[in-house]
Amino acid sequence: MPTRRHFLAGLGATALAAPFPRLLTGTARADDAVAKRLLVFFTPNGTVPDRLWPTGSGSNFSFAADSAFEPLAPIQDKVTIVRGLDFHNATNHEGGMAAMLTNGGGAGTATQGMSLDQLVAAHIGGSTRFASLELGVQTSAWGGSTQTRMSYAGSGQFVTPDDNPVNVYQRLYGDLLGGPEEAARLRARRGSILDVVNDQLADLHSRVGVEERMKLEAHMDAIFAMEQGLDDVTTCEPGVAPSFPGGVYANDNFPLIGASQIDHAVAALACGMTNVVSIQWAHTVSPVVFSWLGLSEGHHSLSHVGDSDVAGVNDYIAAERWFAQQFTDLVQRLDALPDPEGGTLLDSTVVLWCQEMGDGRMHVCTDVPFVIAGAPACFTPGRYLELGSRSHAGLLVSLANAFGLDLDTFGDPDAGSGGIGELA
Amino acid sequence: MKRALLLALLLAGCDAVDEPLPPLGACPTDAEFFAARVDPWMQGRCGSCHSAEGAASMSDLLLDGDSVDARFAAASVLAATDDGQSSVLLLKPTNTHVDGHGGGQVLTASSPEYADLVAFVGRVRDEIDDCGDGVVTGAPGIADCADGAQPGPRILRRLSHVEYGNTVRDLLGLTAQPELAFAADNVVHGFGNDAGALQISPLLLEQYRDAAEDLAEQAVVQQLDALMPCEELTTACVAQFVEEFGRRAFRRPLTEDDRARYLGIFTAAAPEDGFAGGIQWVIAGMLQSPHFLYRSELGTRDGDGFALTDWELATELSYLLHLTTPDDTLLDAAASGALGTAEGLQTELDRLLADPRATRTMERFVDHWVQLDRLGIVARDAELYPDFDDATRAAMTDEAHALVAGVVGAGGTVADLLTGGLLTSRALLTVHALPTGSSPIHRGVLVRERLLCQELPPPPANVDASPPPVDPTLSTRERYAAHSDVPECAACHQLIDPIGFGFEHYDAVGAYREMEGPHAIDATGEIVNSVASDGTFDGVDELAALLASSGEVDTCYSQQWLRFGTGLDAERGLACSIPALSASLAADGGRLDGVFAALAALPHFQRRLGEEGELDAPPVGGDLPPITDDTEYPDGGGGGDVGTAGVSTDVTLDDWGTGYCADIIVTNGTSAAVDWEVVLGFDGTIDNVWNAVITDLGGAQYSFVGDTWNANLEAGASTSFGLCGYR
Repeated sequence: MPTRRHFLAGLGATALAAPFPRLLTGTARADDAVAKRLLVFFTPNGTVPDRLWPTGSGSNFSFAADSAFEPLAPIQDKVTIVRGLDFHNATNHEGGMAAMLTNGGGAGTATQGMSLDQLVAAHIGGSTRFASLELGVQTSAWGGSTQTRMSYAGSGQFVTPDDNPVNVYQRLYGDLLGGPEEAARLRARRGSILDVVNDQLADLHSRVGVEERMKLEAHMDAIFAMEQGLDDVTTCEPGVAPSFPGGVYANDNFPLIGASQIDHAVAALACGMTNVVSIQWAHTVSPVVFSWLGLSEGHHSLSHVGDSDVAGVNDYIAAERWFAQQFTDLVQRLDALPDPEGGTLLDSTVVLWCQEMGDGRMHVCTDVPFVIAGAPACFTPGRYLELGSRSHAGLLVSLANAFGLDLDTFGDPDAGSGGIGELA
Repeated sequence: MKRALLLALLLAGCDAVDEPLPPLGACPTDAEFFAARVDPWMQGRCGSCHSAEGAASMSDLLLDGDSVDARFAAASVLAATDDGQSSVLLLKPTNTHVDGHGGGQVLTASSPEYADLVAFVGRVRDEIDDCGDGVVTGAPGIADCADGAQPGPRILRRLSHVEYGNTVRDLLGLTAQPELAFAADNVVHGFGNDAGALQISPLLLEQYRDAAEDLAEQAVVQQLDALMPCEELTTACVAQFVEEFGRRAFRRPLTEDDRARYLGIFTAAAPEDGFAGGIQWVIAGMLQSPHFLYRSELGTRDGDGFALTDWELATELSYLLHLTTPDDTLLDAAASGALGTAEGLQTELDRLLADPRATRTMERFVDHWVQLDRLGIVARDAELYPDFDDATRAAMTDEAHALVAGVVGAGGTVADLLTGGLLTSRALLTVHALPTGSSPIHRGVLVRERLLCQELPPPPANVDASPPPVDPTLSTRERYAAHSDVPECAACHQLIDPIGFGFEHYDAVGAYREMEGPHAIDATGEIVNSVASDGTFDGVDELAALLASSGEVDTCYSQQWLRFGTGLDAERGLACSIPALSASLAADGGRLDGVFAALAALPHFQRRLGEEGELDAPPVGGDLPPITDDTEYPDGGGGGDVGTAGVSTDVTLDDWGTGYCADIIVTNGTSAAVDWEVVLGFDGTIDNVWNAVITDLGGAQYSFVGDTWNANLEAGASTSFGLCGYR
């Protein structure tokens, strides 16, 4: 029988006063339209505003020619383009990356420094094999830091993306490859080992000081999540195991890694292995060279070329359009798969395209673009919303509410309260 | 706060100060103190941003370049301004203010400049009596370090990925490299082994489990005979294995409880999986234990602190010098009590220092110090640099490592490393460049942040930092002219570009050039705003000489080694260890490898501080009542195929991280001809095999038999085959 551990990630001695996120059940929203799945899609280094936003407004808009969003045209009726969101108290690459899905905040705030995906996973992830999956595309060449991490399990607690689709394949299907008897044997062996580890961790926990306890508690939380996964017997059809000559960090493999991670994301959602997936393309300041488009400078370098460098700006926009195309393809794939409970997978999935800055050349986190696709019962699609200058905490509140989380603030409460009613 | 200020001022006296600072009278006014002790360095450190034209022109500290009185007034206002617990003038430059500091961390709490600021703040707030009370002001000292280096906290240090890999290879006698696929760790100050940042996330936990299971399977297939201390397939023998292997895996004798736990894992698995299968699950279990994954630096209570146990000292020593688990000799020294004596510790230190692995550790430190560990993932434009491939990267890494090894072997110093070619090593020049060309910015930042230990602030928000298009008629140096022409840019970029220009003779793959297209290279440069290394130079050799002459890089070397060696730094209680380490190194002639003994001589190495109520490190077992149960188990399990008996292999592995190649010599050690088969473990994907036929057995195990011409070996004969793979 696995031991349950409820430790508050990243909190100090005041932890006991704050509600434990994993126990948040929330009250259902009055209109009881609750989204079932969340897919977060991140691309780095900000935008060139003059080459981004649509023309028109509301449900009467069109994508500008040669703009970075133009490849979204085939899914125009499935998306909401959100303009006018500002990050509170955050600027620049690292600041934006840290605030993007958290709006900051620590102990004592409603969300305790957790990012949207982790918060939703804590709320709905208990019933699936994986509470969430964080899939990365060359995110971690520089290790884990505020530059390379967007998901937070608590204040200052990064969640590490899995950059290797081969490893992801093993995690999703490895236990199933030997058949049900072998899977049962593995569960028994692993369970007995985890029992010993839990005993040893409990003993160590009793001997150490406050800071080291938090370290051990993170370890125990991870074991608890693993034990839950042991009990799950979801069976899915494994595809072909991917492979990447040159390795997952070879620059030119970037699009192949991305395609493979997207395959995994779609399969995992479709099969019910998890209901929360994030796809992180590189990281802020990423130097990836889009060689497959014929570019020769790094993505971050290109994000900083001036308007007088027409060719350079066009190169950057070409990269941005490539990202938009990946987003479009992903949304269309979700829309082509059935949801077992009716409709398409896209109908019950909130897909969020997020970036860490607005104008990348100015290093500002104002007017940061967000695109929402899917879950039309929660968010009316096919619109270009210009909100003026609002805190992006409101967006995070609305998204959390869509999953039945009864929050009124997200992260730092000084950013304001309430959601963004126009999204409904 | 007041007590800290007083401590800071218990100083040697107004005399005997060997620093080039203006003299103070017996009772200086606040303004005189400022002019003599703060202004000289504050202008340099802060003035470039905190001026009317600088990036911090809108902040609360504006330093008028023309008037020391105006600067005194500005600093006084901030000194008197509190924010929470302390003066803003102290919080901001140490980057401990709740709102952060646009300039990042400009001072460390252990620096003499900070001590001066503390004294200045105290004076402004009238917390310090200028004269009388026997409190002496004016001479700079190290804040709060009057008592010398203090021990840091009790910690559990998770094995870094490098340490994990070395440890499992040494424990199990395997060549696998599972650590190369582990999820990336958090990097703090450029190092991936910060004790606070190394945690076990759900992803890493899964990877640890999968690695433990794979390694256990490989170990039982390839090394079972070598690992077992006895031959009987009985519980008694398993108990003996658990004790002996457990001592090496946990780096201390097992308790009776732990022995029982692992015997329990064996007896649950062996009936179905066989004797070898049971051993396999015991190994897999131990490799997932916190007693394996975390290095204990907790100690037992001793007076007002904790004294590390001899077993913890053995672990500390081994990972410090060799980045791997203690060998049997070191464990025996702990068992006998020898390590608890100064002579015993010195003996082991000397033994480990003499081993080539100590040089490998120094090479790895340098890799992290100047970021050569990124060489594997930097991209180069294929048209401009068509010869830059993995083989080139490997050669560059070898060149850098050979340089370090040469300097260490000759008893060389930091200065020798600098002037001996570190700054012209191709790996360094390539990592710190752009895909299409050299980069004065990258190279300038390298010197400023990694060699001078001065952190640079990020570019400010709301400033359009876009460079103009590449004008092909201009040289690289000319293209960066806007950084110095535009005042808002110059404030910070004067700290970077003039250093980076000194590297312009070297292109993006570290090749020397006299010309950049039609332009003759101008490699003149300058260091400004350093503590002791300001000056001009022409080219990298002169830059290296300038850096070597000031001793500033030596201090930075100490600071970086403190981080790498302890997994902690100034912010976690080791501030006063930095000057102690520097002094220790200097006293020893500044030898690069003197840092090992210097770290082992710090109080932190043998003692730690803890809170009330914290308990001793887990008890050490040893001399357990013997288990005589001779229940027998069926042979087998454990992965199956083991290859032909009597046939041995000699594997030579060339591994560059993203891929590897192996040459295997197969020898028939029997007295009759055999059709040979060998079973070996390799991670990643094998994509090329020659002179053998491969079968994938699963679990990263592969069977190899010969091709038609070498499948059969006469008695005593050898053949060879090879393979390559990637990750």
